[in-house]
Amino acid sequence: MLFNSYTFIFFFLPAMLILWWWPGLSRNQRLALLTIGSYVFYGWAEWWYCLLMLGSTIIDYVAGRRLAPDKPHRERLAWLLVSLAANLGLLAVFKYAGLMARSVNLVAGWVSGSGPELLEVPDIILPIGISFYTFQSMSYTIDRYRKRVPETESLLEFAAYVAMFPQLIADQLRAIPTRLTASRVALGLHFFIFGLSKKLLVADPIARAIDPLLKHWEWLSFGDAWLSMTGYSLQIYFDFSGYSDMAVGLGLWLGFQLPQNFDSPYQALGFSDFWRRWHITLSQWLRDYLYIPMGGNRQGLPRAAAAILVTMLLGGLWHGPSWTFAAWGLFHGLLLALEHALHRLKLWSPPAVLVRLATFIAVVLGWVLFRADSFPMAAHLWWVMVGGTGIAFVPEAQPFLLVLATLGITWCWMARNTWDGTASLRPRRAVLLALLFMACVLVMTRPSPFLYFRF
Amino acid sequence: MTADETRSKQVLETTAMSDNRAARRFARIFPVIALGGVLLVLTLNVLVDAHGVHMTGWLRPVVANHRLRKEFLLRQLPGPVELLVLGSSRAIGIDPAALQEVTGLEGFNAAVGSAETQDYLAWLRLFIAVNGKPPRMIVLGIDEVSFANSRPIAEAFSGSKELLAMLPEVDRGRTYLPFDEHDLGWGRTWDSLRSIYFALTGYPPESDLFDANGLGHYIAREEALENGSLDLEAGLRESLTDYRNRFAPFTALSEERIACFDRFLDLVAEHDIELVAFATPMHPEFLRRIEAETVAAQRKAEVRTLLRQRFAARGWVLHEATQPENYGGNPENYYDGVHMHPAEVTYLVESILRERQGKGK
Repeated sequence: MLFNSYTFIFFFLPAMLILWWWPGLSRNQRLALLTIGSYVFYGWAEWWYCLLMLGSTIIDYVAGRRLAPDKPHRERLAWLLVSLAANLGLLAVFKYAGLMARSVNLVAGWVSGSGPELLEVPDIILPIGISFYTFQSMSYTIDRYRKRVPETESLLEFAAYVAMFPQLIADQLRAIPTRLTASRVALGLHFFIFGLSKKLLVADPIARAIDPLLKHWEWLSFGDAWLSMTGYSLQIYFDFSGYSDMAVGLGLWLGFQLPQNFDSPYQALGFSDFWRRWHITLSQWLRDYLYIPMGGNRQGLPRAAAAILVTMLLGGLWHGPSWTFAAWGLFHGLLLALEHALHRLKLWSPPAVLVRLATFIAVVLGWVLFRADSFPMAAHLWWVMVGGTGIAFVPEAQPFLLVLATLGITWCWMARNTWDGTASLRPRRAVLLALLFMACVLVMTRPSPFLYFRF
Repeated sequence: MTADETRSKQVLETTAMSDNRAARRFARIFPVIALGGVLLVLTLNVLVDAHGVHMTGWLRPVVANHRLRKEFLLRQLPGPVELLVLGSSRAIGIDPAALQEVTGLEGFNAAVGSAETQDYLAWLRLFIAVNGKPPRMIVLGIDEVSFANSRPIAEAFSGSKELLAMLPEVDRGRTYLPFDEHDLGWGRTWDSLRSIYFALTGYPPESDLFDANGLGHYIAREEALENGSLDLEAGLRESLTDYRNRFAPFTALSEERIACFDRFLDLVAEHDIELVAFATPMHPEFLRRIEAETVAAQRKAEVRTLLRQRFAARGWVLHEATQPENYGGNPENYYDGVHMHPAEVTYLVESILRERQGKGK
């Protein structure tokens, strides 16, 4: 089910909220409701998606219990490995099996010349949200192993934590609020409607403008290539930050506080700053569960650079079963390592405006790898974007996209983000949100999944 | 405390505000305007019914409703014609003028998008009523999905009261169908506004989608074909998506549709009309994939068995044109998985007619 669908907005959400705030429900009843509702949400397209989530939940719940601090170290390590193997195994089968088979076939083809394919490439549909809930679930057992979190109270609580459709942080399930205040409703509206508008009124029109261009990437001119990749940079930001804002709004309506996931990333001054602002929850996960355990920046520049590269490579691969995603992660890893080195050496401190511009341009170039279906496509786009096929810009060729991109960049660079404008409860803000909602409803007939659903 | 934790805390503090007046007013204004707006749009689109799906009949639908357009064109014919083309959008491109060169019969193409067997019956009855006499020949392209049990039979008429009136024996279901999600969409809202505007200022002439003899044109595709930008691969993908959805709820042949088909055949026999029927072709690659992914092969076999049985009982011939190779066609001459270029579909029918003439029938 999509947040931006009539089914969700007019049926699922109202039903969920009415039941959630039904007077007299016990905590366990509400946890059960949250879990069932979340399973309905995930299993709307394919019911068996829920079985995977349930399997991951049960394994990690059992592992979490067996990871009690007073248990022998060897037993704890074994249960941690069970949890990691189960979750990473799920990802390996449902997300990466195809990539692995294709890669083996490619290498075998290189070695032996052309011949029959060594492995059959499985045609597996990626279950929605698998990357998110396996990481969510796995982080619990890792933290249990590290003795950082207490044992979850019940399977129900843990199931709600893993499944909750807008996602949340675990400790809030301990004290579920019992009253919905008008302030929460208003702030929830602020986040939800702005998020919905970002997706439907900005990201989707941009996508409709750039997709036909990128479909024929071989023919793009210098100007069109920059315009389409700038458009894609805006599309992915407004799409994913819109989704995150909607999740925050839903969380507020349910009485929870979700963390900020985007903080005006295109205003970043450098790549470390970019990753502090872009997909913050993933960045923090990668930092806490990969980068720091590998030594972080405490063991010298070469070790830190290696840790950054490995972390970003895996972070890139997390986004999808394609080596272009891995290359995108590696690209950012290289930039981060370079920035890290320059920072340590204190060679030069350029003006902030130049740093911001250079960061943005590098990020746009990075999105080429992320968007490309293949390395030849990425290489060709880069070649065109650095002027390899000539420098020509014909703004009248794509006037709509040019206007959208200009407005989008101006917004990203100048405007406050959703989290900065939460204070206003004026009636005219309510009217504005209602009109935005109406505009969204009118364009919601086109199904348009969020880009990050495919990850 | 990290930056995002600080932000979370700020919002928490804000939301922890007491239920103050401003917040309560805010939380009241929004639903009044938002839900009021939604209801307004819904009411407008259902009542105006610009796409003719609710059959409210208050205003004339403004979008290309094949059935309504062809009813209109049928009534505009200067005199009786003797050849009738029936079928779905796959038969829309059959040119009656080209068939006249082979048969000598002047004709009208009454093929409409997503036609089902009840269309064949209703169109033949309407044709006889309007034309004043039955046709001498019917060219009929039959799709497997014309027998699908996927939706109520009356729903397929999408706004044509006149065609529905031709089927008094059919269960019409609800005449006023419940609203659908498109009633909340911009497309239908815009058309509702256009509909009101046209009702006040006068309707524009019919679009050029159909010629006077009912020959249909896919304007954008024909232009793309002409300037060499037609993307067959994209078309095949679109068809796959479309037909996956069509075959998914097609769990069995619809008894009602079989009954309509039988009545149609009876009417053809009763008026001694020559029936030139063919199973409509699909692009080979599309056929391979749709049969691999859906129940298409099973449904196709069931429909073939039924058709062969019905045709054999009357001594008629069903022309198998399931693939281009069956009629000497070219798979490159397709817009997508099921729709052929106009020349290809006319060639198909001409080759069938010539074959029949060669065999003395």
